[in-house]
Amino acid sequence: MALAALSGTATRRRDHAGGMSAFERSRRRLYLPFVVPALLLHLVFVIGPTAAALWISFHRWDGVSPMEWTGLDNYTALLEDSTFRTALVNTLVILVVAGLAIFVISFVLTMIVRELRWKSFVRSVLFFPHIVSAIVLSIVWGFIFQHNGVVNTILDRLFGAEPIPWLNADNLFVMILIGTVWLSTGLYVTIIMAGVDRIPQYFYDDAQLAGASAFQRLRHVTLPLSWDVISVAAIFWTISSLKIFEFIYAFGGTTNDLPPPGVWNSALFVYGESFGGRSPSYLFGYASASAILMLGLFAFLVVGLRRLMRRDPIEF
Amino acid sequence: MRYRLRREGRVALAFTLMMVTAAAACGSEDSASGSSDELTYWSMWQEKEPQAQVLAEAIEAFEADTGITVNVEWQGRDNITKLLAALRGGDVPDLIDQQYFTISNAIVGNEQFTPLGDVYDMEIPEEDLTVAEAITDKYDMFTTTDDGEHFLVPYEVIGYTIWYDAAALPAVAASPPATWDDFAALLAEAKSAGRSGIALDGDIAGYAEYWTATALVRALGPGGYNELVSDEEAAGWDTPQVRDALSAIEELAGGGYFIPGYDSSKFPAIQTQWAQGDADFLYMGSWAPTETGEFAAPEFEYRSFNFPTLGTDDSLPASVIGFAIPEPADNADAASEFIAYFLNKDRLSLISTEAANLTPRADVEVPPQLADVNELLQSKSLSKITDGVLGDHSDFDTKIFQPLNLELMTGKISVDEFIERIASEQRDYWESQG
Repeated sequence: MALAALSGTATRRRDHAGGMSAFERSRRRLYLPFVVPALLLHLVFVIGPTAAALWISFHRWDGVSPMEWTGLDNYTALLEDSTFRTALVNTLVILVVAGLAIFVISFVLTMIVRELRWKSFVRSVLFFPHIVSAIVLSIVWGFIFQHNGVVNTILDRLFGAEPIPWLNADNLFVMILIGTVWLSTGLYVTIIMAGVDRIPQYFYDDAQLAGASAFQRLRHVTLPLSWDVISVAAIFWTISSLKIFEFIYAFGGTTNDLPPPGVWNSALFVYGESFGGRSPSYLFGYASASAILMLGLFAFLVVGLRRLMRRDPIEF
Repeated sequence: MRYRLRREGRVALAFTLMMVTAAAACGSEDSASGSSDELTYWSMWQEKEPQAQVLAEAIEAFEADTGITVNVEWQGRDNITKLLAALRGGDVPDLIDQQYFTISNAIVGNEQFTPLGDVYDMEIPEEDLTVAEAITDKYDMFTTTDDGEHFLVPYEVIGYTIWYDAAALPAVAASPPATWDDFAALLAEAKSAGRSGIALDGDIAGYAEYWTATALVRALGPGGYNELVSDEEAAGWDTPQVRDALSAIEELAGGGYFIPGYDSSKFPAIQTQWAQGDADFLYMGSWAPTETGEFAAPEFEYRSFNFPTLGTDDSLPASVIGFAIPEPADNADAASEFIAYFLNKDRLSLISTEAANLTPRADVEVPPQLADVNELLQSKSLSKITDGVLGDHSDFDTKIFQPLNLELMTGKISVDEFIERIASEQRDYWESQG
């Protein structure tokens, strides 16, 4: 029966190859039933909660008692809150500094790996940190870098060096940045490499014959011809950098305790003001306001970035 | 084609309907009240923890004796967070347990607790005394609201003391330091002998706070530190008593008395080092022996003394873990019955013998390694650990006090800078709270 229906459809499609209108009409009729389920799920699980967060952000609310309308008080308090300002700066530093590092390293690795014989193996190795849970990695990193950890032990054995306080308050955020780069680079190498792999070899051969250096090949061949992939990757990084949570939480904190507020990003701020810590603050209005502010800021950044990176697609 | 399209459309619509129904079903899960022959208990323990095993044993006996079924979920420390979500419209458990401040924080201010006065009046099964008679009113400071209503019935008590290995430090065991000067002398002595004085897992800001908070309570009396941070004008910080307490803490860092790496290790690395004899003292709750026991040398002898005095106060910083009943609970009666049942001496004793912790009943024998804490618990007045600040002002504590305290305890700022910054940040904080 299914087969019959299938062959029937094929015949009809061929019959109507010239007049698309019937096909278009049917397509349109199908449009709604296929879109509605996804739209409903999106409404229930994304748009609904976002709207609720916006509503909650205008209130003082402990999660149980009736909400108390406070207007924009949460927002003005946030701008005065030095912990929030630190979290905002940290989020932007992760976005820009870790982002730049990830993309530069990804390009360098892409250029190197392209030439290698064990390309797919190297690619898998580079991708590996991205597969392993960030929590597991952060715990391992904690043990490697702590005072009596592996790194200090090796430095001591080799050079007799005094232990370096990698995880103290001054260095913790830098370690988090390095960890984030290490965790994410593999993914972006893979994405960018997939874009670069599409570029036909003869462009490179031609450039090489014309005497182009490696950097010139990158600038005049690789970058323009993989620009669409890079811009998607940049947007993807912007959005995912906002959501980094578990690495900072597990690396800087313990089972019951939040990391020090000096290394919070905006995601940790939301958690810290709502459910986090040994004695949670349950400030749901305040936490929602910070989430809404960050959502607005990042929506702006994503739109800006898209405009900035817009180029006419190059066909090849 | 038309037929097939219709069919596909119908399938898609059916799928949509299915999703909607499923979503609706999720939202309106059956919350019909159970009869009083059962109760739901969301435990703070995970199944493998000794306390969970003690409770499970009691639950089994309770079910056999009363015919009431206990639906227990071993949720772990997140149980109160989950309770909060349930209170917004879900199946609320009949019985919960946690440290007193976690419960009071979640359900006391918003009046989501059942007053437990009646439970305190209940007779304990197989005994000739009531719950109130079995548990002295010493613990009321933890278990009652500001209006004096009971919201908690404790079954485990935590005392916070300074731990040491009596086998390695017999002189301390013979004469434990009573005043801060005595203690400072011990630290200086340890340093000159090439030992580290104090072990502290500095990545847990709350552990670092124990030191400063208790020093402030010693200088100002119980409630003094809490009052200090509650003041919107932050006026109390620049006084000689506060300076004395903070200087004592500053001197711990300045004198180099902390174990190397206390500011850059991952918990529980430092307390493990302490159990292995790398530092003399560890200021910790009465769970210290169970948590460090497996790393300690066989001859390690757990002893502890009260935090030294910096004035007249010599109260024992403490906390309790206990049962509470959420206000919307359907089976509050059955839950109350279980609480009284568990407080029976024989059953509660297992918290001591099996889980190696202290109980609120003075007539229960204590584990030998907790004899010192118990002696203090019986003889001294009690104060709340961190003077209740962690529970009452958790947002301020986490974001302002704890980070500054860590800077003081790692020698990055002086007492003057600490006072200047905490006073200004505290004023800003209270102002932003409206």
